[in-house]
Amino acid sequence: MTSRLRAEPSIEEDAAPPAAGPPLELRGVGAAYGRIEVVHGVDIAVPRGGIATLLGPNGAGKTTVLSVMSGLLTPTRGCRHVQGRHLNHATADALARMGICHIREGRSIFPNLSVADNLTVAASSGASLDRLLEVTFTIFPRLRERRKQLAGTLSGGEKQMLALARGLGTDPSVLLVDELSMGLAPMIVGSLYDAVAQVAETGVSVLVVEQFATVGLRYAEHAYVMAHGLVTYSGPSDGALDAIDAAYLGAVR
Amino acid sequence: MTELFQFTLFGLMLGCVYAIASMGLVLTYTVTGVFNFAHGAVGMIAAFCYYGLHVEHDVPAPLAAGIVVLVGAPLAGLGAERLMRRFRGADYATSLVVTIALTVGLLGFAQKAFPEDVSRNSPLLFGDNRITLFDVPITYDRIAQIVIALAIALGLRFLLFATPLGARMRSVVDDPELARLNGVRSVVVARYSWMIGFALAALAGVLFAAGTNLSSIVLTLLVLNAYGAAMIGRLTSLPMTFLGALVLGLCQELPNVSWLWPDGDVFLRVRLAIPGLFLVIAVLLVPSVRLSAGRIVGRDQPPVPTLRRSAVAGVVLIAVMLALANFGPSDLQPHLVRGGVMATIALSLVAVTGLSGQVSLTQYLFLGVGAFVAGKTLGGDSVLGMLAGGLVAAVVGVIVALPSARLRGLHLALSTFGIALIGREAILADPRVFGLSGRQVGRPDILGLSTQSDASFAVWCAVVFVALAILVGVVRRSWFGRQLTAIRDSELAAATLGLPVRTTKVAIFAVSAFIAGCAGSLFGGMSGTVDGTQFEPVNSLVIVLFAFVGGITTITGAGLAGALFALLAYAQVTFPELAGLVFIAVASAAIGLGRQPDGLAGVLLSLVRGADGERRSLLPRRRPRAALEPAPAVDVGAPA
Repeated sequence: MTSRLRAEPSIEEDAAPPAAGPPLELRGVGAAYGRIEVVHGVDIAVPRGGIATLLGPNGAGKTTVLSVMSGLLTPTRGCRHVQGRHLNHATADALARMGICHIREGRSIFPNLSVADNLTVAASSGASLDRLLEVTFTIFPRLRERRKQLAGTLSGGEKQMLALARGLGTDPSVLLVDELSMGLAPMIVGSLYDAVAQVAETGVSVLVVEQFATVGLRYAEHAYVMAHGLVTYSGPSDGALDAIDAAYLGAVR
Repeated sequence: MTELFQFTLFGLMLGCVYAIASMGLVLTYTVTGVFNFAHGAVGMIAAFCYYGLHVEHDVPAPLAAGIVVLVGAPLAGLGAERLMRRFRGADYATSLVVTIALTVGLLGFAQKAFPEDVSRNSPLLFGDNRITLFDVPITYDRIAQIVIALAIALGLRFLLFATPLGARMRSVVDDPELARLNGVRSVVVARYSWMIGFALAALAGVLFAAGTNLSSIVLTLLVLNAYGAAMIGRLTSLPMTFLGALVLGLCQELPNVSWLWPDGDVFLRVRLAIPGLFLVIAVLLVPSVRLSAGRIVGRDQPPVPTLRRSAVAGVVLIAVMLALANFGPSDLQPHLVRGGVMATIALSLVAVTGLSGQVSLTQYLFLGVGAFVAGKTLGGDSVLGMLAGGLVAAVVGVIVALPSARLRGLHLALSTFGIALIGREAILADPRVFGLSGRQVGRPDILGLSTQSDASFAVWCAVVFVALAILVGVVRRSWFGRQLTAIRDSELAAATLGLPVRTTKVAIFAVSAFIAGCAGSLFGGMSGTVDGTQFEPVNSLVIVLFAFVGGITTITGAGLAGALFALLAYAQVTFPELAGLVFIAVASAAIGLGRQPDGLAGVLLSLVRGADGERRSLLPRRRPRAALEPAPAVDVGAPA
């Protein structure tokens, strides 16, 4: 299975040939909520076919970066490049249909829809529903038993499985995962990350955001560390620890 | 017993048509967050179009109904989606006013395209065929109503719970942002919900109209009655909405059982008010909505003039009115009077909507009460009569506001509209109130000066407007006015500061009703005789539009609303072919100004500010305040 980019003729600009570079890249991107800028020009790329991690303390701007990547926020400056194309003004649903899958922080599911309906909606990005169901129920057999149940009534781990199922089964080109471990038992976290690693091996480019640095670093080859809306480290995961210490313990920037 | 059975059956059938209308309303509301006030008017227009096709152009009934319901209405729904997309993220008042504008515009269109000087008897859909069930004759139409309603209920159920589109619709309701991340095209989903909503409104309109004499206002209000049923479903649940519609139908039909009223029909008027009552009760049953912390509205408040400035402006206004009334063309004079009266009514809305942010759709009830009291007690031709009218209207205002004080936003607006419906049916339209030939309301003598002529009465209207405007200005600058501003900005913050939120809201309704009551006696003086038909609730909608177009946040705006009304009325008299276009004009203006919360007054204000050049160019730092984007409402009640 190769990563794929669905054609989306309705949006924007130059038809550069699909490059072998990163499938999703932010260059000098700033982002703001209203007038308050929280990300001050960052360069972050999701490397092709591997796992990268974005680490940093609370309020560093990690979630904002993911929101810019998936189109929930429009960059106030800089560029968002998707498969080498400049797409600053694409909407979130258009980017989702182009194969960018963003699993939000918290429980990224529709609580008032059944498990099956959640998966039906997840297939709105153009993926095949049959395949999505097959992949989901193979990796997480527990969801098959609960497919008629309202998603809001699932346990925390099952909710996260359902949220992650969208990333695993819709065959995205880029998978952005925000705080997968939040509020879950370590064993479940381990199995969820194993699933992410598995999907990365099939060629999907993955970026995981973590507050718990050790969890993120264990799976990623490349690491970014953010503090105060800026990238303070970008490089192999092994060398990130100093930057992490500085970011978390508040060194002078 | 036959009678009981008969009316139970009729009630259920009526309820079925209500169900069709209200389910469409609920679907649109839950998916898009827009309460389509124009739902009733859409049904009305559809009924007229069906009549036009079927009766006037001999299109066979099924084809005509198909064209209207399955083609015309969905296309119109597409247009509505396109229109409302411009107002995405706006507060409830903006989308409410825009859909009210649609209502008024469609009413104007109906009056223009289907003038009511010809009587239009819409035939029954299935002719005079009927079956008899336990001695009760039932036409095929009524059977069709039940069958269609059930089919639609099941169809919607199937659509929402068994199709991918339905799952997407529900996902947008659940979490719009996550739906976008899933790749759901929210525009497409919204489009479908508008199309279905419009089609259902049209279907209800056609079903309602069959076998009746078409009247645009009656039909609109008939479909509007269904809003009560939608409220029973809390605007979210389709099954509850269906149930509410059936209960509403029964409430309306069961009192027709004759042995309930052995002494004749003393409660006839009250019974006509049942739909309004139902709406108010349904809204009141909505559990208290959690307070939200409000938004950063982020725009400059329109400046509050000092007492001196408003006095000077008032004198200028009166002088202009004097000059226009005495030296202008004589056929202008009645319109000057009209403008003065309308400005005063708009002023009453500035008080309640502009100062406290509550949309009131019941001003013509206060107007009617004011006119009645002025005419009844002191002959109307005295200032005391006017004040008495105002005071009694203020009492009515308190009565209106007391049950609604708990409500906010859309619910409050709907409850005031329900009360307007009740007031019309139970009080104003009762022939015992205004008498069969109407009630005389004269024009007063002021300090020995007669105001019998149109010219002098126009000046008197201007004087009253200025006096009341100064009253509003005083209220606004006072401690009470600052409380109102606080409540408008954030009810939650005001409540945590210990401000008496509910009392303040009731009080401002009283002030507004007082002004409207005074305007009522001017209104009576304008036409000489008043009767109940002049105080239709629809007029309250029209005046809300005029007030919004003029600028509902400022006194200047009220004056502009009056001027605009006079101008349009004058144009209509001068060019009779424009008849009916007044409604359409003001509706388009309201839609055009939808993004400008201060209306024409705000536009003028920014022009004036631009002219002196100071705030615009020399002090650019002041502008960012206006450039603040609306932040999402923060729901303090929920844990993050």
